[in-house]
Amino acid sequence: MPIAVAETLRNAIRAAREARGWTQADLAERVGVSRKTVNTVENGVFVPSTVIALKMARAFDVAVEDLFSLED
Amino acid sequence: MSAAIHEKAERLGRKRVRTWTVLAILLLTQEAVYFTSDRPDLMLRAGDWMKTAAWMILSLVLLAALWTGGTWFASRAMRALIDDEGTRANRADALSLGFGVAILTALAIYAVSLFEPVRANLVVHLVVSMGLLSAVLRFGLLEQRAYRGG
Repeated sequence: MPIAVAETLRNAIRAAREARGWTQADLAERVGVSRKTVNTVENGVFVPSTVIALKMARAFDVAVEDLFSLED
Repeated sequence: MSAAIHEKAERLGRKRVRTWTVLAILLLTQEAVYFTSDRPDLMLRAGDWMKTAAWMILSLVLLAALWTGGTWFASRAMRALIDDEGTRANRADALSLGFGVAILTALAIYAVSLFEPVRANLVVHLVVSMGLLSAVLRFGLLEQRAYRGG
């Protein structure tokens, strides 16, 4: 169930983005999605597909586990 | 993709929400006129054909828009942005709710029909409109929430 997953998935996108001085629009442009989608992923409203998660990790040049983690 | 195309996609995406909301209000208005007319349950009269055709066309347009994203005249790159993964998830959510509401409406009318005869054209109007309106409203709410912040 996507909702159950969304409740247990944490992400560090905002911190990574702000550390680089990027806006949501900057990240959206690098990943190739809309700013709206970046916003919903960042706020935990939407759980992205593996493809988007990997593209985000690539944009930040980090491992995907550094961006997304499961709550214990 | 350039920043310009992203900005345009954001503008078009917000415009889509407004446009669909206006179309939903139009559909609601058509239904209000239909159900408050003096004899909505009887066969169509000559002058009603135009109204019925308009209602059917509007319903089909809204259904097609919900199903496909409605960005029929945008370029491929623009479509990919306006109807990206997050938007497709919102559309799927909205369509799912619309389907559930349509079925529940049909079941409720069936229960009523056990005690009082209900004409088929009334049933179709209610099922179609309830399903479409709930789906469009849900999509609008999800999109508004997604655009907020940032």
